[in-house]
Formats: sequence, C-alpha cells, structure tokens
Amino acid sequence: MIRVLNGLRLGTRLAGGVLLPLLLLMSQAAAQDLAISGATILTVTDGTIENGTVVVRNGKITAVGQDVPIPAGVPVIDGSGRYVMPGIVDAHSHMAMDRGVNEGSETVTPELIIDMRNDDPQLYRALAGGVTTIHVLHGSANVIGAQNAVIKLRWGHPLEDMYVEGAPRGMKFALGENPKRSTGRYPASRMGIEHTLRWWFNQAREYMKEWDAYEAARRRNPDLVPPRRDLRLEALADVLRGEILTHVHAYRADEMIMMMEVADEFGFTVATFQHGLEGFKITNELAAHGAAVSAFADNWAYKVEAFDAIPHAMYLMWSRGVRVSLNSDSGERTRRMYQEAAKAMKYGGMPEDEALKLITLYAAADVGIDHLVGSIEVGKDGDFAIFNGPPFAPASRVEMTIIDGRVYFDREEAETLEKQLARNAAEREDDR
Amino acid sequence: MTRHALPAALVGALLLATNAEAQIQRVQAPADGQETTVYALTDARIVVMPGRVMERGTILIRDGRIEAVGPQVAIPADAHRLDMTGHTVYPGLIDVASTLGLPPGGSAGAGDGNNDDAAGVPGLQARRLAADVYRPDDSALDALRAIGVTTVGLAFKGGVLPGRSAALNLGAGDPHLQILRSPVAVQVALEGRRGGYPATLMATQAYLRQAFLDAGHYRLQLQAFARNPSGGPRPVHTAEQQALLPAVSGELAVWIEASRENDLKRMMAFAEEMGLDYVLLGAQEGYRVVDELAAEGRPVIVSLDFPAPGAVTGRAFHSPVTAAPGQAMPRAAADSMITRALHANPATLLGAGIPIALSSHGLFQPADLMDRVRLAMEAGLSADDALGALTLTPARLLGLEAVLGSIEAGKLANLAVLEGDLFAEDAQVRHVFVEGRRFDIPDREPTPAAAPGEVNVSGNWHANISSPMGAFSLQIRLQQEGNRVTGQLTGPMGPAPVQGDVDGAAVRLSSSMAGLTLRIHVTVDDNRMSGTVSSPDFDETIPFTATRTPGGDS
Repeated sequence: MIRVLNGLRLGTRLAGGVLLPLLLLMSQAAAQDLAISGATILTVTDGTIENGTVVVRNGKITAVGQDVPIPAGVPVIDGSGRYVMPGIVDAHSHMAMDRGVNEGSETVTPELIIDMRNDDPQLYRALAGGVTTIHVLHGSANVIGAQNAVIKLRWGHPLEDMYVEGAPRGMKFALGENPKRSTGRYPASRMGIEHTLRWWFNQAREYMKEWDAYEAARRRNPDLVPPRRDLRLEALADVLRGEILTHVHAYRADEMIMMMEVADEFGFTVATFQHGLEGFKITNELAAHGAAVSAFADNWAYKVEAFDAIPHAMYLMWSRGVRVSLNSDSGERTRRMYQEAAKAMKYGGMPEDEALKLITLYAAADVGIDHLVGSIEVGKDGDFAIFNGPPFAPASRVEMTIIDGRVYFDREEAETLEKQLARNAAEREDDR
Repeated sequence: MTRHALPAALVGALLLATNAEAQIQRVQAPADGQETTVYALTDARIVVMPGRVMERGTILIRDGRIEAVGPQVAIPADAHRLDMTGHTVYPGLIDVASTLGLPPGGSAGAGDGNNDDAAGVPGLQARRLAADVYRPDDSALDALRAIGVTTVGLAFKGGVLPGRSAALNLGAGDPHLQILRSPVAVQVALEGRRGGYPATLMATQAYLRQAFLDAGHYRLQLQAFARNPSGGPRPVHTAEQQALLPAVSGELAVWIEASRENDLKRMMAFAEEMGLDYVLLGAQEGYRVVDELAAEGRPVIVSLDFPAPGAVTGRAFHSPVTAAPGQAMPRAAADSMITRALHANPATLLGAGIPIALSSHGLFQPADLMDRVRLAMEAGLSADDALGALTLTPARLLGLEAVLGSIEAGKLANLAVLEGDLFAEDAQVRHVFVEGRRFDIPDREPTPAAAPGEVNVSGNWHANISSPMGAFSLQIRLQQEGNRVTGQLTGPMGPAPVQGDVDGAAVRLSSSMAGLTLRIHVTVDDNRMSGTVSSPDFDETIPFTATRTPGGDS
C-alpha cells in the first residue's frame, strides 16, 4: 500500500507519541483528493467492481469503475487485495454527547438540541471499525426527547466541522418501559404515554393557531405584542409541519401501531422506529405508514419488552417492503457493524448488497442524507472503509477509514496502547 | 528509578492533596486606631499604572481618596507622614471574579439559607444579588489583603442563572458598606441542576434561551403598556424577568462562565443570538478559540484555576488510546505541553489583542492567586500586562475605572505597599490601604528550628513536584510524638490522613487517597526533606522534596 501520509514516519521517529498526532492535526485541511486503485469495490447500489478504481476530488467521488484514469497529482492508495465499501453509517448512537444523554427531569423536552464534543475517544475507536457517520440521539427516558445530531467522525477537527451539512433535523421519541419507569413522573403506563403525546401535540396546535392569529392581526396593528415564544411548543409545531424527522424508540408492535395512529391523526409521518424488535409482526402497517425500522441483528431478551424478538426480523421486514437499517446504540458494537449486518444473510438470506445497505444506504436514509453518503457513486462523499478481505468474512478487519477523501484511520499508522507501552518501556531502557 | 515517570493515577491522587493550607497571615487590626484619615506616603517608588513608574514620589491620602500624587507634593500639617523609602506602592490589586464569601451558584447551594422560595430555585435565580448573600470570612479577607488585593468582584460559580455579581472593597467593618457597585452583571453558567430541569448541558442551554427570550418578551410588553396603558394585556412582573430585563435591554453586562473550548463557542453564539453585552468568565481553554475571541474583541475574565491537562479539550487527539482498567497509563508526554499552553493562556489572549482581567474564580484558595499569576508570567505574561490584568482592566469590567485601577488623584486610596517586586516570590507586602484605611501586614513567622541532634518533622511542609502532568505543590501538616508521626495531606477534594515513623534522619510516611496508597520515603535535614514518593499500586517512583513552611503549629 502506498503511504499517503509519508511524512508522518519521520515524526514518529522524532518524538514518539506527541509529534505524530500533532502532525496529523496540522495536516488536516479541507476535503481532499484521493484515489483507490485495484480494489474490489462494493458500490452497494451498482454491484461489485473487481480490480476497480474510485477517484475523489475535493471530497466528492468523481469516478468509479474498472478503467478509470487517475488524474495527475491525486494521491493513490493501492487497493489490490483490499475491499472497499462505503463508510459505515451507524443509525443510532450516544457517543460523544457532551454532559448528558437523558434529560430525565421532565417527560417532554423537544426544545433540547443535543450537545456534542469532538474529542470523545469512542469516535476514534468507531473509525477503527470503518464507521464514518453517526446519528446521535437523546436517550429514551423521555416520551419526547431532544433534537438529534448527525456527525461525521472527522477526528481532530473543531466541533462545528463535524456536523453533516444538509442533514435534516430529527427528534427522538420513546415509548414503552423506558419513559414510563421513571419514578415520580407522569406517565407511568403506556396509556399515559399515548395521552402525553396527544396532549402535547394538541398544545402545539393551539400554539400554531395563536401565532397564525397574531400574524393575521399584526397586518392591522403593527404595534401588537407577539405571543410568547415557547421553544418547547415551537419544536413540536415543527414536527407537525413535517420539518423534523421523528425517530421513535419502541419495542412492541402495539405501541408502534399506537404511535403511527397518533402521527396519522396529527398529520405527520414516523420516520423510523428505533429497535422495533416486534416490527416483523406489523410489516403491512409499517409499510403503509412509511415508517422505517432501525434494528438490532440478534440482540434481545435484555428486558421485559424485548423478549418477543427473532433474528429473522430484519429479513422479514425488508422482504415486505419496510426499509431496515442496523444500529449499534453502543460505543462498542459500533466497531463491528459489518459483522452485525452479515447476520441478515445468515437469518433469512438477505442478498449481500442489501445486507450492506443496512449499515450504509438505509441508515443514511433514516436521517435523510442518503443523497450524500451510503454508497459509492459519482457525486457522493468520498467516505470509505477499506478492508483486508470481504467485509462479511469473520477474519476481515478494517485497514483504513476515509472521510471526504481524507484518511482518518490507518491501521498501520494508528496509535495503539501496545505501541505506547512499548515506547514507554524503550524510554525506560534509555533512562537506565 | 525513572525520571519524572509518574503514573497519571498517582499524580491524580497527589493532586487531590495539593493546594491546601495556604499561609493565611493574620492582619493586625487597622493601625493607629484610625483617628488618622490623612496620610502622606513619602519617598516611595510609585507604580502609577502599568508602564508608568515614579521613582520617587509622595502620595497624599485624604478621607479615602488619593488627593495628590507626584514627585513634589506639599504635605499638609494634618497628614500622618509615612516614610516609604525602599518601598514600592502599587495600585491595590483587583480580583475581578472571586467567590469570596459567596454560596455556590448552583444546586450545591441548596439549604444554605440563601435559597428560600423568595430567592427561587437554586441555580435559577438571576434575582439573587451577590452583594446580599455575601458572608464575609475574615481570614479569607486577611489572606487576600496580605497579597495586595484591595477589591474583588463577587462572582458566583456554577448554576445556570446563579445571580448578579458585585464589586466589593476589602475594607473593615460592615461588609455591606464596602460594596462599591451592585449589580455589576447578570451571571450565566452551564452547571445543570441536581434533581430537576435543567439537569443536562443541552437543557441548561434551552433554559437560558427561553429565560432570555421571556425577558425580551417582558420588555416588549412593558413598552406596549407604556404606549397604551388602557389597552392590551397588562405586563406580568416576575422577579426573574425583572432581574434579566436590563441584560436584554443592553443596560447591564452579562458575565458568562465558560471554560472549555466548545462551551466558549456555544456561549459566544448564544450571546450573539440574544444580543447581549457579555464578558466571558473563566476561559481556561481560551487559547484554543483565540481567533474567535479576538474577532469579538471583548475583554475576557481569565480564571487562573488551571484545569488538569488530561481534562482539556482535544487531549484525546494527542493520544486517543486509554489504558484498560488496572493497567498503567502510557506516559503522557503531551500533558506537559498542554500544561504549558494552559499557563500561557493569559499571554496568548493578550498577544491576540484581547484585553484580559485575571481572576481567582474557582481556586480553592483565592489567596493562591499570585502563585498562579507567577506561573502565567513564567509562560510569557509580562509584568506590566499582569499588573494591567489585575488593576485597570478589572476596574473597567466592574464599571469602576473612574475610581480604581491606578494611583491618580481623585481615585480611591486602594494601595499595596511592598518591599520588593509585586510579582517576586519573596515579595513582602508591608501595608495595604483600602479606601484610605491602613492595614499593616505582619512579617512571616520565623521557622521553628529543630533541636540540635534530633529530627523533628512537626510543622507544615510544602512540596513542589514536577511530573509529566505538570508541576504542582503539596501541603503536608505533620505532628511528631516520639518517633511516631501523624498528620494530613489536605486538598480541595478533602483531607487525607498521613502517618509514619522517624528512624534517625529517615522518615517513612504513608497515606491512602482515592483508593491508592502513597509512600513517601525521605531523609530530613533541618527544614528540608528529600527522597521519593511511590505507590505500591504502580511500578513507578519519582523524586520528592519538601521544605518546612512558617506558621507551623508544632
């Protein structure tokens, strides 16, 4: 493999653990030019290209195919023997949240907007598993949680540079055990959760009416004092206007049906059910409503509402026209999403490309950025995970992770605990 | 033994015990029974303001004000003449944001008697005035005057809307008569509540946004009501909205406590959105957002409560790998670099053209301020800039530049009289004048000498330890009976007992902190001990030296 970051080796020799990362930081300009040649390219949307080349200019894919010329001056990664897939999108994460995952003090908190930090080491570990984009959600303690964040793992960059531009707003909702089990707080039952939803959406409707009336009246009286801005109701009004994607934590079929009925009544669509373990029971209803499900592969029975699940759920939902994605909901599982996706082939026999879409294109669609990422196509972002073998083969691992044509993880250059401890030992020897 | 290879956890345990027991020098009662209100300080070297020094001059003080200053000042007959030959007079220092005598800003303050219903929910009480809830602590006041501080900004720490700050002169007597200005600013911080909304950072920001929007709406209602009292809705007056009203109308500054890179950015954006006249307070990671701060061009209150390098934003970029539980931490060479950057923060901001005021905000012992100033100076802050950041700039931020910050006729007679340079480690503050009132600062107590021929470690010891995580100091108090030694290491996180024994000149001490055992093995030579500190929990040892400090209670 041709070293893209040639200069860094010198840095490693000079100053051990300090200079190397510093140089990495300093070298991070904007999006980059990059080509990967001679690789097996899993485009996900247009089949697999053997001995293929993909070219990235200024962060965007400009060419992909077998006989693609590489423009002069573009750094080339030799991909022979390697497998290139789109950067993995984790559709449900709580990594890198800054000082708080759940605002459990109240039941309905849509005015909140998730705060992120850019230096959570979990992000770096996720990069090592080929993840390039994550959907970060409020926890599931609240019936209506916070507005979400969609970030790319541009490790080393300032926080504001990590957000995916063009990602629509999203909001977390939660049904079932988690929101109802908080003590000393309404609701304490599934009945109460449904009532909470209706009560607040009715409040939001009233709020919209109040503002509409004001807008009409101020044409006659420009001195009129506007109504009080209520950030909570304003956010819910945006849901009712269809400006916010709703991501609903749910396990049981009955509560998903309830949520879709509430959404139908108030005129919005549930974008995704998160987890949705019993979604395989209501595929017709999900498809009719247009709700997707972001699932676990074979993770269940960890609480009372998570018993009635089957590993074939992903396949059953997918085969009946429900868009399915996989998510980690975990800073650990996120590093091996490709192994999770492979289970969709084992349980039911989902085609390989479709199984890959569970952690790329369909996950991107969940958060409304499938026009930007999720497949290797001309015009999309240059986000890739390069494997040393087929991604679904048990022994394969990620060699490089690339975002916007820039290498953010390179196993050969990566800092590891083993390397650090070895350096410590060597320096101790020097001290003696 | 390796050189300075202290595991992070061991350093952390030691850090728990630092910073304690600052030498509080009791100040004698105001001199001369205070009959005299007219002083002539003659033949003094006068630092009028940063960059302006009068090598020999006289300062005439009358009724709390500086009446005259210059090389030739006629001394009236009623003046009490003080020969200041060999002394330097500085403007009294201003610690622009001190928590001196204030309850905590947030939930931690619940139950302290200042958070009854009328004052609102702890941490959500813009209505609260620092000037009202300030409880003077004489020993802390004395300790501050002993380093030359004559005025503080009383500023809450923590909370969300913890209250409104004030300016306090460190005179004697009724503290409420010493308030120079109140309120100085509405304070904002990002410490979530315990046990209620807003608990998380995201909710804290939503709460603040809603609170300032509500105050803006209140303002619109008041304006509409003033235009037409006979129609439209009557404004509803709440204490919170009344407290925030001058902030949203731009008549009162807003001090926003934020130390971390992303918080500084967040709160700059918030203040812009709300159109606030704001000052950032803390800004310990200001050097990481120096371009953004410089673009704003506003003065910044810089806290000298340096964070631990391991907690600084971006630390993980240097080394994203962390040790598994039970494993030793890899050597963190990046941390000494981060420590230097933290110490250089004031100089970095000034270098970018950002006016700064230095403050003790968050320090366990506010009187450690000057030690921290020296660290900032070692990292590049010039003496003139340090003085400006402790006099003129804070005076301006408190809205008191007409009466504080320099030695000029008409200003309040807030002065610090020293032998030696203000910023020298051995500087000896001799007198402090607060609004013309004279405080004499006593000499440091002589060091108790050990009896010849035997070792006696009783007393207070001060250790400076340099480690890859930066230099820090450790205070140890020991009592020896026979060959048995007991005592404690005391720090901001609470004291830890220490015990051991003396064998000839060898002393073995052990202490348990944060679940770790520390072993200090030293030999004592009069007022100095040297040896090693180690922990059986780690295969690491570092050098350890300590010196006896005055004020021991042996």
